[in-house]
Amino acid sequence: MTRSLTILSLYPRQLGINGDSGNVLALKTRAEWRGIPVTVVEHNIGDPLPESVDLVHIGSGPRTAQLAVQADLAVITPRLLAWKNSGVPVLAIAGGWQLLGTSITEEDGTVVAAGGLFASSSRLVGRRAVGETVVATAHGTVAGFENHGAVTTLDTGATPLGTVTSGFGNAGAAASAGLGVEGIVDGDSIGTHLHGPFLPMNPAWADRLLNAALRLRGVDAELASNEHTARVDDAAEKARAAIAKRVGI
Amino acid sequence: MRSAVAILLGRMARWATRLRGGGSAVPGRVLLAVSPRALERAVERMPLGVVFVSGSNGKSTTTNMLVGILRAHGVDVFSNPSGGNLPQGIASALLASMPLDGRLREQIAVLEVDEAYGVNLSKVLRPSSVLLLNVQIDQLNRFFEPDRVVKMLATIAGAADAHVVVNANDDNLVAVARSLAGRAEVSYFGVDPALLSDSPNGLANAEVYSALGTSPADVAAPAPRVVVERLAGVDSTLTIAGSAIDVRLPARGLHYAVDVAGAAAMAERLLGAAFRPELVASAMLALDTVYGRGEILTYNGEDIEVIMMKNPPSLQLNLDYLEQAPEQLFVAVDEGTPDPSWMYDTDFSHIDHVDIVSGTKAWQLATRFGYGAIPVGSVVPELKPALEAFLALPRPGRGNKTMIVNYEQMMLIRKLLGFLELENAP
Repeated sequence: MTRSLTILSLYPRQLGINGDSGNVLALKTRAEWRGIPVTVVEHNIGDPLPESVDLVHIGSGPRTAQLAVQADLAVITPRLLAWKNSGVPVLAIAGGWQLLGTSITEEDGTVVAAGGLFASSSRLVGRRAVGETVVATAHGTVAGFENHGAVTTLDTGATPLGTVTSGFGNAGAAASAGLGVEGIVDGDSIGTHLHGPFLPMNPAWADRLLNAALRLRGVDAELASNEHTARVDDAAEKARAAIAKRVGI
Repeated sequence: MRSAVAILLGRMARWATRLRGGGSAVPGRVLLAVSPRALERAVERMPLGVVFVSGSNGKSTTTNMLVGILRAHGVDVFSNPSGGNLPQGIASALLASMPLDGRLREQIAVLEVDEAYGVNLSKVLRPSSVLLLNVQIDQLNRFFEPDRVVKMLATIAGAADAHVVVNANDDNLVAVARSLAGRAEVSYFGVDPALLSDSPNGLANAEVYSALGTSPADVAAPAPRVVVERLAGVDSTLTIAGSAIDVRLPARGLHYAVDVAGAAAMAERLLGAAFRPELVASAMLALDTVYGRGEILTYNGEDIEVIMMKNPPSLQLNLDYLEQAPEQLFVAVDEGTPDPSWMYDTDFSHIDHVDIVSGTKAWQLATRFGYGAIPVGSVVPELKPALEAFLALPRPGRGNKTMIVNYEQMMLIRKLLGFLELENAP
């Protein structure tokens, strides 16, 4: 097996206004820093899909952008689902995650079927959840920024990314003071509301995704830290600490 | 009577806040609280009406330009000072020149209005003409998504009954213009297609998702009345009402040339036969720099170029039109930019390093630069020591020390520089 990875970046033009492209950059750069070449395939409306991919990323965008990609997404969903079921990690951010859940309920009550890659459903609400967020996860404290207008419910048995220490999370702006949850983890795939972007700010999760992709390729990779990763990881750690301090943790 | 009392109270508040220094929105709040109809009354009898200037970027600069062009034609213009684009800011500005009968004496009011507040302001002030500059990714923490801004601007434009002047290179705005019911005459300004394709990141206008249901590709492209034809540094040539006019821009960048085009296009519509294209050039030479837009600060005899990181498109265009990678660069961002994630969508290829990163978001910026292979000298979140260290660097061998900062950091830096100047005074 060659030590190289292909990342499929879905709809970067429409679902790319929150800097989520930084997730793709982090995956690519961190792999290349370990000597693993990466090809990023951007998929736009009407494009054919590549034969195979090792990682899938979908970013967030406004409702109108979701609607703009909806028809194309329906066409490629069977392939995405097959890849995910075969173990290809999918990272879906906010609006992109909503599109890959089971359904989206509009504010007027209309229910629209979604991609079905994640065991979650979203209900759009008028009140936005906007602000810095800290989440306790199985792989350390995660920090970022959420800006979404939905209440997302996980199906029974689904696992969240973590517990909200400060912020809104899946419950959205209607979140009560109690400990809510944020995101979803399904095998090696992740759905989350967090920008920052998520992976540059939380590199442990970036390396987890890369490891999963390499494992699937049969590459027994040791993603060791080196001078490049150490520098950005130190900066990201201090950035997370600054957010935690600001929200009063 | 009530309005005279309100104006006097407002003026007292204005005088009080001036003594204290700053706080320019307070007098406007006083005026609006005592006399809610004060705004409406102030402008309702102006002979040339009210002009709104709105859009994501360039409102202050373009308003300043339009006012300059109209004044060069001898028109007596009322305007709000740059950035004072919320209702209380406009009311405060009114107080400065309002007679006790509450009616402005100028011929025309040219007002920069915030996209969101502009919706209600358009109902109160009833603009006869509206100039729309662009729809760009801006303040997502406040506006959430560009489509909401498109709808706001459509409502504002819908209030006009004389002229709506729109950027022809902004597909969202072209759709807005085409959706108007036809009360106002629509005209366009734009950039020569070849010049636009030379711009590394275009004009950085927002994508059209669904907008107002009109796809601009479906119909013929609008024919702009004012076109930016050429750009070299701060020198630009525009075709204005058929004449080629050379203008000096306030700073480098295609966006500034587009601002001139918008201002000239609106002035031409407003003035009709009295409009003289050559006065656009002289008006541009007489402009004061708008605070913090392509501004040079002088400290201890050394010029420092300040690039304001207002939002993604303005930062992108400012970077794209840097003459060369700054030899000494300072970047500072704080909570005025609640989520700097969008900096991952910014093309930073025009800078090759950053000397000092500062502000509460300093480590987040350092992370971004780390992934962009842009070396960072040091990260000093606290502004004062960061600024002192930057100022202490020997003068660069070429060009000026350069700062890329958000608005809030710029204000603090100005304060600190004044403070330091006093400290260093002999």
